Amino acid sequence: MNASKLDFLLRTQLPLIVFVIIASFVLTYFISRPERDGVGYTPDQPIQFSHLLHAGQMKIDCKYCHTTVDKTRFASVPSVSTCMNCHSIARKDRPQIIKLTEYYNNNIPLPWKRIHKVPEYAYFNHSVHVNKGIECSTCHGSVEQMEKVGQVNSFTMGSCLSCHREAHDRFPQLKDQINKGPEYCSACHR
Amino acid sequence: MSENFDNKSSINNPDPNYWRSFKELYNDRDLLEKKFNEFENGVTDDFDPNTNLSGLSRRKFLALLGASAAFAGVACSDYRDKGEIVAYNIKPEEVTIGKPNYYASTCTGCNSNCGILIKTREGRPIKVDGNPEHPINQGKICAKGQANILNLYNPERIKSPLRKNYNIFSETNWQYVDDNIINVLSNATDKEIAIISNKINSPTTLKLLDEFKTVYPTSKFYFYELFNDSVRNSAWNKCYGEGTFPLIKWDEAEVILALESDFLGVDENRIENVRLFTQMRDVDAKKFNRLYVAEAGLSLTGMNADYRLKIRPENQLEFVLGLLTELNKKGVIKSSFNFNVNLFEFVKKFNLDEKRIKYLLEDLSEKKGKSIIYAGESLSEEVHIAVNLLNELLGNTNLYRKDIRKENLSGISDITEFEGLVEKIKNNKVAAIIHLNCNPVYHLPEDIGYKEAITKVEDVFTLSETMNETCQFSKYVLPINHNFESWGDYKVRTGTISLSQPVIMPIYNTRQLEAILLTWLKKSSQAYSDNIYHDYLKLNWQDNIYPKFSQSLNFDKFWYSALHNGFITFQEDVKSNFAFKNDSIKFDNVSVSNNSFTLLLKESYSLGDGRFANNGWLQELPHPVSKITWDNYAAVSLNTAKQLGVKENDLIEVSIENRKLRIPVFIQPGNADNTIVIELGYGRENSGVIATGVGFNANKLLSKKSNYSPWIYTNVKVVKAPGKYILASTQEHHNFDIPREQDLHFKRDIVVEGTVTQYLSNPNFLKDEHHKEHESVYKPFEYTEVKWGMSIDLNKCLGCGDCVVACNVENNVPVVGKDQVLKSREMQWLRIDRYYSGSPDDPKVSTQPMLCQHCDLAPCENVCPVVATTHSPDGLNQMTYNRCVGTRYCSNNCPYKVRRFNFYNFRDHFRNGYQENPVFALLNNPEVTVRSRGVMEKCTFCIQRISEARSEAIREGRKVRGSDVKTACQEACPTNAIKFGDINNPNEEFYHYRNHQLGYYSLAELNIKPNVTYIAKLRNIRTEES
Amino acid sequence: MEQKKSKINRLKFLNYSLITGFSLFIINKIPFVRNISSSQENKITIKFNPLSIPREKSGVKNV
Repeated sequence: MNASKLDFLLRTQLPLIVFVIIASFVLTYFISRPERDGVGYTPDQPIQFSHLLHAGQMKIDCKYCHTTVDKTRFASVPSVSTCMNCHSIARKDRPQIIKLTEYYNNNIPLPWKRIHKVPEYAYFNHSVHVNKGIECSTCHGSVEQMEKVGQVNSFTMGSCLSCHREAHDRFPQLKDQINKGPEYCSACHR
Repeated sequence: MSENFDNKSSINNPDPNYWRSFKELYNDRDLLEKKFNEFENGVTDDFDPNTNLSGLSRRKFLALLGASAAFAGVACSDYRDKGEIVAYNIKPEEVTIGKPNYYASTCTGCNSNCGILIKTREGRPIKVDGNPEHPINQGKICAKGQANILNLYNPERIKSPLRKNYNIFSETNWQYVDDNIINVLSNATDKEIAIISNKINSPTTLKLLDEFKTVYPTSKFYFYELFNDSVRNSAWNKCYGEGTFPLIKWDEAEVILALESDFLGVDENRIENVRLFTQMRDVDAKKFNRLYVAEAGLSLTGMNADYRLKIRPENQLEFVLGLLTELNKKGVIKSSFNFNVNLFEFVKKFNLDEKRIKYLLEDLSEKKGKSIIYAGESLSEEVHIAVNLLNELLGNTNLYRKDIRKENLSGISDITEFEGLVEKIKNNKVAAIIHLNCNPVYHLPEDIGYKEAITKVEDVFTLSETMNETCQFSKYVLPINHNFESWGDYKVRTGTISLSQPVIMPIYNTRQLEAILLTWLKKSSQAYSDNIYHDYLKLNWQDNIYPKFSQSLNFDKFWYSALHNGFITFQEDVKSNFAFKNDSIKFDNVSVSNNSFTLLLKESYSLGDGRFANNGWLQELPHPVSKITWDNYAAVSLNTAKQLGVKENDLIEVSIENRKLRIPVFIQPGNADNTIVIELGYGRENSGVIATGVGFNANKLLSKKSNYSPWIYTNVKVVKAPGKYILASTQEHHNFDIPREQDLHFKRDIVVEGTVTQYLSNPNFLKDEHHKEHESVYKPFEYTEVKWGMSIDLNKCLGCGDCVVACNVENNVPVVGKDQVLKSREMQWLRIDRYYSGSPDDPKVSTQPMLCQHCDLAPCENVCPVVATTHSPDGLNQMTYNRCVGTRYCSNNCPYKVRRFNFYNFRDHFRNGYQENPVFALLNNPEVTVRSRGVMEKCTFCIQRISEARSEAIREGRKVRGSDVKTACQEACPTNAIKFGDINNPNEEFYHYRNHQLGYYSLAELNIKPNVTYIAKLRNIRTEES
Repeated sequence: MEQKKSKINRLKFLNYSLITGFSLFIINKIPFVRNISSSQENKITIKFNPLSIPREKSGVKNV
């Protein structure tokens, strides 16, 4: 090819192509960060509820508050009335409890900051996992040691699938109870 | 540039043929130099383009602009923020987040008041199905009942009381209207208070109205229904001296002759009718009835007839009397009457098929006492009397139910009472008019003059859910609760009372109709409380209904269990000896030759009497016969169209005396000549964004006196009118003239049919004729566990479309609007295909519900470039919406064309974003994705229900079973034609249907191994015909 | 002189857009404004009717 064509190729086309490739890579990297990198996200909550105190020291079971985790798709965040079961009496004088009681008395639902979220087109089902014997801490980490809850694992489709595929390696004690998790689309994507 | 100037090629030798000036022609050097330079000398004298104009070049400026915008955008939110998760403050005891709650209630979509179960999620009703324990409808409801939920979330519901000032409505409060109305009512001591309502089936409401009358003695109640069985009942009264027309045991009838009666489509409680009827079309029990239909316009019942006769309504009397005469002659019946009607002359006069009449006579004789002749409610009283006589003589009174009768609590006022009301208004004798959730301005015949009369009354109060024609004439419009927000009780039959309870507090500032009346009763606007009608109802039950039961239960427990169940049943004695009075029989004008047109006005399959006109799903539900959406039309036969010189989409003008209507024409194969069939309920005004302007108001053609019956007129003139109006049909208009397309559905094995005699003589006849072994290059996948499949029994499928609406509700299917339906973009995942074969005068009709067949070797799966559609190990063809880019290759490949593409986000496209109103978000099923623009969707076999069943199974520690899952369409089908389950489990009921002798796959020759089995329709025709 | 004027105009425009962007960013952080922008119009409240009996209510059996 003649000199000017080669020149065009090297000076314009090649950098352009390289740039496009790099740019699309970088763009996708950043756009997927929320799912990939939710890891470490530890937002401030309206009430400084400490799982370390309640679940760790006082050893309250996860299911006492997150009641529907073995019944439905959702592990429900408890209503304020569940908190008031104890806190109408316990530690009534602490500022956080006073704040809580205000929410309760004024009938304002508590807007907790959401930490663990799978995109809405994937319909994750808690009860299926819990009923098969998978511990809460497998995905959510050691919540009972967290003063403020944060996300410790990545919730991308890849990480869900890798656990589904290696189910027997990750849970050797459940080898007889569980099969490999579903790999087909409609298990989560309806 | 100057070096090129001396280039000898073109400059020094300008073309001698083209020159603009002499200078050019003679090669003036200066001119040539000027031509060579782009700019004249001295152009850039004022500035130097090489110095910096500003420190900032344009490029830099734009870059900075973009960067700052991006920075601002990114900085405005924490990219990791996932929003908030907000729990209840106090969780109601019965709610489990993620699990639905079911409430038993009663539907008020029509007069049949079927029992329903309302499914709610976190306090929002999202789906309605029949109450399985209810004795009348036994777990099924019709399309209107399914779509009624859209009326609850209608953004155009009236949200607070309105008052009219100079023709403009403005919002006001309840105290204001209550005080004013109580004032008006209390002062109406010498003038009438007219209260107009639809038929009321509620014992407690009637008690309330009685109390109302004691407080306001000048009250007078008027009840009406656009379509009613008053003619049938009055004929019954004339024949038997008392009571209402009995219920029919359709499940014991071996021969049915339906005269202009769409008993499978709209007549009476069609849910019960179809259930009982299809019990006698059972291929396993080998029980088959034979249905003869004699009608003028092809209806749903006519589509499913074994033999059909085209008889115009004014000739029905002669037909029945002809049958009587003939059967009397043959000695089959013994009648003292001699009507002297020659049936075979009748047959010749009207070009009927003589063979069919012979078969009819034979069947009626053979199956004496096990057959029924049923006349439609729009026929004249004389026909009903003749039919009652015929049934009596044939001993068919066996098929009248004697244990349970219909109740007629409020009755219907005669049309003369409305005329009287108008007279009274003219004479200034009416103080106030109250409309209780009814629309007489729209429904009543115009020649009564009601619309003109009420303009003379100042105090017109209308209680309604939405604005309608009557509201426009009202001083105050009071919004009432929707059925799902209301308490109530309903008694439509002896021995059963249904209850309705609210599943949600009123969404807007509305009140229950009876509660409003109670407030007026108590004469004080402060008397109202939210539970006032609940307390009244409960008290009425305690005083009047509970005592009939054994007192072993205390009342509260009784009440709670009644609400839990949705109904109570008890023994109630009914008079059951029917003694025919022979003295009533006298017929005039038996033989009628009508040279003008006959007009039949029918009830709409999807809109009822028009009350559902603002419901998008029902407007878009294709008409079962013509498959037309969004409009009504005048159905005429092919011959009549030729005679009038009209083609598809032309307009005709229908006129009766001085009433006229212009309406588009639709050529309906199978209609009788010179007959026009129009459905009512369309052409609404001021009734909402969806209803207004859709269709044509044929109520204009009604009259207070007709020469035949309130819905049939025989002195009709029809002429072609100028203009065109395009009707949107979801199926192509069948072409009978093209031989290549004739019977295509049979030739291509899309639909396979047989006859009952074929089946009874050789149960395997289908497999013998059609069995083809197909080879495949693919190695078949091993489905070791559950494999989902569906079977649709075409003997039971009548083509009603209830399944379509249920699927729409369950799967958040959007409404697309007429213009998109014209482009075949309707989004219904399930459709009912309707095929004609035979001649346009006398077609044979086949219907087939078509949905995604979930083929094992699906042609759509191979071609998706992004692998958005794949096959699951339990046999489903799965669709991953977030991966789909909208190539549409998959729908191109689908041989059944069941894939629907979202060409727009129809929610914001239809009617300027009507469906984006926030209240619609409450209606969506939270388990199903709401699809946006550019995504392909199709039937998923209700994957959300399958997942739920799997989850339940894991919770209970067992494997999922096929019988755990009921798809939405299966649940809704009133005849249980659809069955769903596991094809790998031989112990299930479904297995039998999958491997049925009459089972076939549509387009089986393609060898794509669909998982939907159709059970072939068997027509019960005589051997000579097949 | 036109170049100076256009330079000033461009700088002005840039300044204004940056200031607007920043201010929007800051303002959005204030909770009060946050509530308003999340739209209070037509917030539909769903309430149960405590007198209704669902099938799941404990203690009510099919009598």
